[in-house]
Amino acid sequence: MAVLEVKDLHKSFGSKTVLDGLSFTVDEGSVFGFIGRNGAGKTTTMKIILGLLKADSGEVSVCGEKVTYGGSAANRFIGYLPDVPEYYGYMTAKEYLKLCGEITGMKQSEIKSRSAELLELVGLADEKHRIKGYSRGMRQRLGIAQALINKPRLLICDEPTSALDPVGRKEILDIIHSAKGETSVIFSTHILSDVEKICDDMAILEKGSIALSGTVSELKAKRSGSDLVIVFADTESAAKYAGVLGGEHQGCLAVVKGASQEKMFGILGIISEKKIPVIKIEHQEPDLEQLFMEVIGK
Amino acid sequence: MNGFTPFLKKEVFELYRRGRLLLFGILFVFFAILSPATAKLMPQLLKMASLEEQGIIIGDVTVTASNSWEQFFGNLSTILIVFVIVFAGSVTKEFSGGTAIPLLTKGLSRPAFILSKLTAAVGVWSAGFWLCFGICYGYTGYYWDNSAVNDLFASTALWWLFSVMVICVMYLFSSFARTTTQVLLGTGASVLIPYLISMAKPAKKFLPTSLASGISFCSGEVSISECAPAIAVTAAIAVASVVLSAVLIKKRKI
Repeated sequence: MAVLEVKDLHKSFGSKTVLDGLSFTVDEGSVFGFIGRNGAGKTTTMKIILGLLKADSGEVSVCGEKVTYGGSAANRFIGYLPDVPEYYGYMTAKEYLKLCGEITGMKQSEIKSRSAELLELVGLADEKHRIKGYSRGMRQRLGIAQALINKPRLLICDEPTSALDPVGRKEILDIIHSAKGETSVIFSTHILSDVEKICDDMAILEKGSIALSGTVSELKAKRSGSDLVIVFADTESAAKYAGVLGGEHQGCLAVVKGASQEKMFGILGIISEKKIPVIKIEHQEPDLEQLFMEVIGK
Repeated sequence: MNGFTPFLKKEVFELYRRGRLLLFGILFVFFAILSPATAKLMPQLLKMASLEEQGIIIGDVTVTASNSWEQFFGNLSTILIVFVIVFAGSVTKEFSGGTAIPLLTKGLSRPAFILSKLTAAVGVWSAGFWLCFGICYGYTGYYWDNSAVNDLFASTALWWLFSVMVICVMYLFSSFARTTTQVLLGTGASVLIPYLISMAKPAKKFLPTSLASGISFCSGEVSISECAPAIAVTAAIAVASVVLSAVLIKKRKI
């Protein structure tokens, strides 16, 4: 069943069209990577899903309930982690979670046990200081805890790792991954290795609509073929033979784009036949970065 | 009105933890004591200021309870201005800083958001205002006779009504203004413009600013019964501001 359904969403700011017929669905239990360049419209889409921004046209429903602008009832199913979450600095993490729990209408006993559980999960259980002294990573972790307080069915994370150092990033990805059992996640980012690590499904947002979508493994396999990198003994050989092997010459390298296994055997044949001095031949794993570059046409 | 009570609790907690309750507690008590104290010391102060050599001679000055209350009403405007300056950013900062977003996405309704802020502000203001009145009443009564001042309670109540309207108008501006400066300018203008209009006598009885006449009511210079239209107008503006702010905040872009 789909937790989130976005249908034919349009949104412009003045003369700038940001979303142009955007449609996608997020299935129950999946971690969905929502990929796009900076300014592609990821945050705009998320704000529309949350009812914080009005779409020009189109429809969004969360758990079957239609999202309305200005006070969406569908928000009770959603936990939201903004890209840079801001809190009341004079509160402690525990006090903040209590406020969040009360706003969502949870019982005091429930708030107490859930807060303790979540603070443990995000590693802030022993933190007695007020939030104003928190580091970026700590704020992001608290952001996940507040988003999960009422056991939402959909967790929306807007670029949760963009501003973090590698340690902070890993921590956040681990926490999101561990939340997977109890909620579906939509996770916007432009960091493709993060998507490869934790996402099941993904979609690439380009020019206001989905340019490509599917499961992460499916999309990786879908690539026309991976690149073959041939390292020559010297630059002259590279210049001389790159064309013969059907590749592009780059320094002492030749890169053969989209080389299938068959094509590689052919190339190996030519190398042995013409006795071309080669140091290394590498068949590169298809990765999302290449796929992304292909999709956005770079 | 989802989330009104928890958010109101948060507002009061914020005022306490950020020292706002203490600040206004001190301010109200200070001005409550200052008014009768200034009145009591007035003869000595005037004596010190009299410059006999320059031909300015001040004779015996008789101080009454009325002088103390004159000071009291004068000081109220100062506290109200400080209050507006401190509270003007309460809504705009939550939006520009982004602290409101997580709570709004958790089901806190926008009207509940602004109305709980307004309730906290009016509550703190009213508690401080009447505490200030109470202390001043006790202190003034210790030296002089409060009963010599006519319509004291009614004059104070009218001032309170005026101040509550100013706070409601401030939250009306907060519901749509982008910056704290806009809120301050809007609120300032909505007090200043009627004040300027009230210079024209016929308009005066309709304008909220006439409710802040304070000591002029007590001295009989301005009649309270003549201000009945102003009372109705002020109450109507306050109620309309509350309703409108709840409507406008729903349309606010985030």
